Amino acid sequence: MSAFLEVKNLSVVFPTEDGRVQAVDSLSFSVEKGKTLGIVGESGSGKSVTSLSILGLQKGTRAEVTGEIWVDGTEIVSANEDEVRKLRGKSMAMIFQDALAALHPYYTVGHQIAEAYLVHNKVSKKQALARAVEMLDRVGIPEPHKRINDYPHQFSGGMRQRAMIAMALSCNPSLLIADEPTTALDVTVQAQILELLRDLQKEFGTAIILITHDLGVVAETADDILLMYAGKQIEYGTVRDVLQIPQHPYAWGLLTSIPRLTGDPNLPLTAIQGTPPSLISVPSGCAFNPRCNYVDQVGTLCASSVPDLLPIAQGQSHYVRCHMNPALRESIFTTQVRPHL
Amino acid sequence: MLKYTLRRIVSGTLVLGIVSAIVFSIFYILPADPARLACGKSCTPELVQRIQVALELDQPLAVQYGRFIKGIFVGRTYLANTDAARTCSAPCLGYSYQTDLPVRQLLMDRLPATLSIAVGASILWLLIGLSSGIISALRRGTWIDRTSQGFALAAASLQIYFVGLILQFIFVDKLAWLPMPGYSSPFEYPLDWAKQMVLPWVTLAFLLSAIYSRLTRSGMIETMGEDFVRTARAKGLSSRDVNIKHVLRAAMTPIVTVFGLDLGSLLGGAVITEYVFNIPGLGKLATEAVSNLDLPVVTGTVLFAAFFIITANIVVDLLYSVLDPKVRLT
Repeated sequence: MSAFLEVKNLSVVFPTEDGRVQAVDSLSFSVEKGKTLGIVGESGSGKSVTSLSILGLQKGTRAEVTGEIWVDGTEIVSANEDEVRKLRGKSMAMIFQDALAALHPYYTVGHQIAEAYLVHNKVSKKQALARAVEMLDRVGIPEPHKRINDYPHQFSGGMRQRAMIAMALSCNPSLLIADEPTTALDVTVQAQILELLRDLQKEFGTAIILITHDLGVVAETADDILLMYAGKQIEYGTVRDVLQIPQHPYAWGLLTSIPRLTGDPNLPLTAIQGTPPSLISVPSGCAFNPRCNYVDQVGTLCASSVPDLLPIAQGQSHYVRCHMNPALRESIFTTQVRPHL
Repeated sequence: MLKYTLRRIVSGTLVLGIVSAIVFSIFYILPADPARLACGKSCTPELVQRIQVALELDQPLAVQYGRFIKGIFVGRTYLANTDAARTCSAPCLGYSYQTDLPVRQLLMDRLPATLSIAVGASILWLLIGLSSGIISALRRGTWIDRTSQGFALAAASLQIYFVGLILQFIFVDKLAWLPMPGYSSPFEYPLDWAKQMVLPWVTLAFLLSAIYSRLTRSGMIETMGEDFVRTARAKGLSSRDVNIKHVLRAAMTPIVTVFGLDLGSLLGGAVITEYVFNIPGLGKLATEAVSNLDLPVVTGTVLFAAFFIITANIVVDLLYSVLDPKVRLT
């Protein structure tokens, strides 16, 4: 069975005055119905650009998108705007990070949800508003028949994010892309929203792409993880594999940076040295090499050539982009990394 | 909302009071004597004094101003207790020094011409300015955008007295397609009215539509980058719906504000336009009154203009709360 969403060799380039910015570089992944893929990476690693490409929202902009994106049998990259528009909101929907900015300030929440439903369904405005009430109720907003007449600024942050989810799910999309849906929310509300997404996924069998820079969120909700760095995927596999036996030094760095409650409170927090590269001047070879602690292990290879994305062993579905061989990685992981986890 | 409106009306009235006081004071400290000017060539000191008494210019400033304010609210009687006494009923703005006609009547006579110019021109500039601005924003960077914005920049840099006279020279003097601009009653001679108004409308709209075009374009382009526009597209709305219902709707608010204020100040008298085309409107009345030191008429026109501007401000603020749900009037 082929997956609901299949991305093959996706690349996105922005021509700018300072040069060509390769925001996404030959990305490949797939998501099945009812499953969740977590895309993790630092700011500027290409997470959001990827999600916008899937929705075809870069059509008509200067972004150059290449590769293939198959959504339910339709190839998005080569399709025209009208074909993709019919899928947007209906087969695939998106929840944005900052719900206050992502909702129109001059329309009521009910109107905006009803609008999303009206585009793809031949119903009256009244029926669409009834649907909005139903959806707000489903995402846990009290007194939804009253709250549909509120404007976004009259909602709290958590409620706005719920309203966004209600809007995205109003047409029962098979694919939901959630771009850092909980970043702006406090921890308790964050947990509620994630649980809501999980419940809705169980109920409707939605495929979800969860974009985040929070490994904790991914560990809790995702089935697969895609780790991105400077526009490239550097590790890809099931949550179990990637979090139990992480392969890439960047993944090691991320995991050892998580503060432990059992750790010595007097020690400084562990961090990955350096800063993420600018996409205009990406380091040659492996983009992570200037920050990698193990760059000397394979001679000068890291700075000179880009490693391929390879399965860690024959027939495995756990991929990594690193020059070190599996045996070397395993020995470093067991002796130097695992003791700190 | 009601409380807010009432408060604004009260404060607006106070502003009108201050405006009239300032106009009065300026005239009082002016070295020229209106009585002397009204007296004419064969003038004697006695005659000047009689005129001063008749115009109540012999009274102190505070008394003159007090009587003026009283006249507005309850009416007043000039030269009371004499044979020449005459009563001016409220709202009394006095009599012109020049023509001896009631100022209120002068204002009402001149209002229709100004109203014709302001309403006609504003419809024209809104139509041209908004549509060219929208097209420019949607076709940003294309030759259509560059042409229309280049044209707008040039038009906004030109002046009414230049464009007006050029147009008049071409269409009235050379081609004779239009009659000399002026004012006829739109109810009695609608065709003449329209023909005479064409040039003032086009001239004013020429300048202002350029400003509105640039305003609309920049507002729409700014809004297009907003997250909520991306959301609208992600819903699967057609680009037409996205541009009209989401982009334009958000970009409209500042345009409505500017339009209200422009219309308000224009209603007080399109001074330059009326002067250039010799149209008997409020602006022309005001300029004539100033050069004749006709204090009651000057005060009347200034107050009238201030009234329109203040009203426009209040209306715009009220409208703002309708347009932007985040604005709550308290």
